[in-house]
Amino acid sequence: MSSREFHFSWTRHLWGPLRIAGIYLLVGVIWILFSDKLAEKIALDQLMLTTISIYKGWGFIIVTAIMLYWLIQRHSIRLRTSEERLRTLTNALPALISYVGRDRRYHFTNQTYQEWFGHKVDGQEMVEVLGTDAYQKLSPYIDAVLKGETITYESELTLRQAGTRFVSATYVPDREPSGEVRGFYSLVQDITERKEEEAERRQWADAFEHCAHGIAIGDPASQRIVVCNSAFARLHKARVEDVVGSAVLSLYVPTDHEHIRQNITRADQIGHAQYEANMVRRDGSTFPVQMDLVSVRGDDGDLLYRVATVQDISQRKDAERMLAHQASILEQVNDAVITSDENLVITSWNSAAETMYGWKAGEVIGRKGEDVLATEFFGEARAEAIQGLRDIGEFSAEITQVRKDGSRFHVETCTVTMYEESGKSVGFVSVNRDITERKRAEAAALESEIRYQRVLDAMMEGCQIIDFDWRYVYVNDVVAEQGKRKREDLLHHTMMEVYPGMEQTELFALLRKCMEERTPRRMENQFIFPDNTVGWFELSIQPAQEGIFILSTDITERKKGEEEVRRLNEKLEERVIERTAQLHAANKELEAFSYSVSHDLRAPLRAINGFTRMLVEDYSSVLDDEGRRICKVITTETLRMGKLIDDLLSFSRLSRKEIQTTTIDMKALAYSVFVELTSEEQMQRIDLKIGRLPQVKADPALIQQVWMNLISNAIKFSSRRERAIIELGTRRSDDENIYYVRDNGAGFNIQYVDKLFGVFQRLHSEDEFEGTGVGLAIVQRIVQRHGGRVWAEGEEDKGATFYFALPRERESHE
Amino acid sequence: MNDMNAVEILLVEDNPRDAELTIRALKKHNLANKLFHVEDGVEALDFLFARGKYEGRTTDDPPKVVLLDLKLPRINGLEVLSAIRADERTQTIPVVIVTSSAEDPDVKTAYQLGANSYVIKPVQFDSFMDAMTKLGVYWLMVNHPPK
Repeated sequence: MSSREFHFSWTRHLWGPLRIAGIYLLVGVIWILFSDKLAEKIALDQLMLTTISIYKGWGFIIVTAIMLYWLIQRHSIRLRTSEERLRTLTNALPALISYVGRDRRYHFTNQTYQEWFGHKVDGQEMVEVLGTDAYQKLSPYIDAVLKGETITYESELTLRQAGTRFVSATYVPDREPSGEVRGFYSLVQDITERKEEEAERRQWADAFEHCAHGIAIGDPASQRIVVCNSAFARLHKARVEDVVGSAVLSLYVPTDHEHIRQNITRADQIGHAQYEANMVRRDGSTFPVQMDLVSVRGDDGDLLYRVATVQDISQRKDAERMLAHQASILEQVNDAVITSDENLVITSWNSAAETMYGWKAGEVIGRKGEDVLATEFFGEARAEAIQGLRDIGEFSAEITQVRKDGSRFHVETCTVTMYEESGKSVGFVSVNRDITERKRAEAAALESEIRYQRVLDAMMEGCQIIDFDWRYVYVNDVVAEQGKRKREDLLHHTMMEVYPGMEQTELFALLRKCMEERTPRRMENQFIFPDNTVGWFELSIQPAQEGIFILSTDITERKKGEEEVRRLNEKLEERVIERTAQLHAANKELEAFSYSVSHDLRAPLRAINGFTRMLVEDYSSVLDDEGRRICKVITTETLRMGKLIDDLLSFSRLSRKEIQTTTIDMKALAYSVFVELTSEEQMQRIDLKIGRLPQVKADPALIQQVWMNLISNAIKFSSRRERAIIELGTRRSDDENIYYVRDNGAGFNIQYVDKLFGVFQRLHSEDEFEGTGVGLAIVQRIVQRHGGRVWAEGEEDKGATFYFALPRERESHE
Repeated sequence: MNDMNAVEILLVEDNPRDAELTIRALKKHNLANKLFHVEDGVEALDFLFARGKYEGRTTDDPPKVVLLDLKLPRINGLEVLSAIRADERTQTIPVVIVTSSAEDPDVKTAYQLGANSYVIKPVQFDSFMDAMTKLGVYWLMVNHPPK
C-alpha cells in the first residue's frame, strides 16, 4: 500500500464526524434564527418573553441531543458493518491474515488462525503462538518489518499445533502519520501442497532426464519431437535442443520408415508397440535400437502425444553376431559337437560329427543319442555318467561308440550340462574326439614303458620311483634287497609306512627338496635298518614325472674299506708320532755323542801330537832321521784325524741348525766365496766364468757353505791344470733354481757317481787330492734341508759339474 | 808349586796331558812359576773359597787368571764359572775358558755367565803352544786386574 492510498483512506475516516458536525451547525443556526423571531411574536410582554426564552433554551438542548444521538448511532452502525464485512472477507480467505503491533502481539487475526492453532490468538504474543523455534526463524523478518521494510519470504515452519508447514508470507509495516511504525500487517499463505507438488514434478523430471534409456515425446499432429531426454540426445551424439523439433521419421534409416509407420499405427490403436529398428545420426552413422512406443490419450480420448523409450542394442547385436560366428566355428572344428535336450534327444550335429560318425545331421537330429551311437563306457556305468552330469554338470571319459557303418572306435567325450538362468538344466553339449590314434600311441608307449621297466628290473643298481604322496610306484628287486623288504611290501605303500620315522631323517629332507624344487641331488647316506644293522648307499635322486626317481648303489663294502683305511691311517699316524719321538731321542743322543766326540776325541789327539813334538824337541839328540820321520808321520796323522773330527762335527751340526731364510744375491755370494778361497797366484791360473745366478730364498750361511765346498772342490781338482776353467751358472727350470759349478779338473768315473755325496766317501787318494770326504756330504745335506736336490756329471780327466737345485718358493722341509 | 797364597794362574784341567802341555808352554816363557793346578771343579772352588783341603788359605790375593776347562768331573766348568761370578770375593777374577769344544751354545753360555775369554785348544802342538803362551803373556803381563 502506497502512502497516497493511505492518505486517501485517512480523509475518508474524517468524513463521518465532519458530517455530524455540519448537521449540528445547521440545525443550531436555524434554531437560533427562527426561535427568537417566533418568541417575539408570541410574547406579549417582556416577562413572558423571558419565560419563553428559558423554555426555548431547554428545547434546543433536547433537540440537539436527540439529533446527535441519531447521527452517531447511524455512523457507528455503518462502521461496524464495514468491519464485519472486512472480517468476513478475511475469514473467507485461505490465508492467515493478521495485524501485529509493535509489542509483537496479535491485534487482529482471521478465522484461519483459529483453524491452525485451535483457538483465538488475538492479544497473544507471537512467540507464544508460534513456538520458540518458528519464532526464532521468523524474528529477522519481524525485526525488518518493524524497521519499516515490506518483507516477503518463503519458509518451512514447524508449529506446535499445525505441524510442519511450508509458508509464503508478506509483512507490510503500519505507520503512524508521523511515519513511525506501530505494527504490521501479515499475510501468510500455506504453500505446503504446492511445494510437495513441485518436488513430485521434479522427481518425474529427474527420472525423465536421468533415465539410462533414451526417451522422446512426439507430437502426433506435427510428427515432430517435442521433448527428449539427454540419453536420447546422447544416442544421437547431439544436444537435446538439436534433437527437439526433428521430424520423427528423420531419426530412422530410410529403409525402416515403412516399418516405423506400421508400428506407430499399431501403438495408436492398442496403446503401445515394441519393435527393433535402426536409427540414423546426423553424421550418417546408424545404430540398432529396441523401441517401446506408447500413445497417450487424454480423458476425452484424443491422442495427446507419443512417448518412445529407446535402447541401444549394438552390444547385444554384436554378441548375437559373435554367437553366430562361434556356431560357425563349432561347425568347423574337428571335434564332434553334439547338443541334446533334457531327454538326450539330439538337437544339433556339426559337420565334424558327420565326418566322424558317418551320420548326416538330418538323419540323427530328433533321435535319442544312445540309439544312434550305442555308447559303451569303460568302468563307469551309463547311469552314473548321467547322474554325474546332473550333479556336477560335467562328465569326461573315454568311451567307445559305433559309426554308421557299424565299426566301433575310441572316443574321448567331454559333456557339460547347459542351464537356463533359473538354474534349470535344458540339455547337454558333448564335445567328442576320435582318439583311436592316441590309443594306439598309448599302447605303444605302454609297451616301451614295459621294455624300459625290464631294463630297470635288470639293473645292478637299485631303482625306485616315488610319487608325490611318497608312495613307491616302482621298485626293482635290487631296491627290495637293499631295503631288506619284499618288493610287494614296498609297492603302493608310502615310505613312512614302510620305514616309520622316515620323515625325521636327513635323507627324507633331501628327498623332499628334490621333490619340491625339482632339482637332482646326489648323496651318500647311512641307513640304519630296523634290526640296527647299518648300510651305506650312494643315492642319485632325479625329479621324475610321477615324483622322484632314486638310483641307489650299495656302497657298504666300500665304506667298510674306507673305514679300514682310516683306521690304518690313524694307526700309522700313531706310529709316526712314536717314531718321531724316538727320532728326537736319537737326535738328542747324537748331540750328546758329538759333544763328547769334540771334547774327548780331540784331547788324546792333542796329547799324541803334543807329546810326539815334545819327544822331538826334548830328545832330538837321541833320535836318528828315521825316528824323526816317524814322529812327523805321527803328528801329521793326528792333525788329519783332527780335521776329520771337525768336519764330522760340522756335518752333524747341520742336522740341528735351524734354517733361516732371506733372499740371497747368489752371484755376489758365489763371487765373494771364490775370492775368499783363492790366493793371488791361483787367481792368475783360474779362468772364472760367472753366468746369470738368480736370487733365491734360503739360509745365507748354509748356502755360502755350499758354494764354499763346491768352489773349493773345483779349485782343488783343477789345480793340476795349467789353465783351470771354473764356470758358475744356472739352468732354466719352472719350479726350481738350478745352479752348477763346473771345472775342467780331474773329473770322476761316472760309475761311482752314487758315492760322491756319501760321508767319508772319496774317489781320489789322499796323495792325489787331500780331503776328508765330508764336503759333498755337507752340500747334499744343506740342499736337502732346503727341499732341493744335488747331482753331478763328470768324466775322468775331463772335469766335473756339480748341480744343486733349490725350490723357488721354499717351504720348510725338515 | 807349594805356595798356595801367591798363585797367579789357577789351571783347572782334568786331563793330565793337556795340563802338562799347558804348563810346558807357559813354563817356556817363565809364566808358570806361580801356577796352581787343580783337577776338577769341586777342588777349583775349594781352592778359590779356601775351604775343604784348602782351608786356611787366604782369599785376599786371588789369582790373576783362572784357566778353566769345561768338561770336568763332578762340577763342570760352566758351573764353576757361575759359582765364581756369584761370590763377591771371586767375582772379579778373570776367567778364561780353555776347552776342546767349538760348540756354539757353550761359547754363548760361557760369555753370558761372565767368562773373560774363550779359547779352543788346537790339536796341533805349535798352535797349542802359541795359544797358551799368548794367554799367559796377556793375562799376567799385559792385563791389569782389580786389586
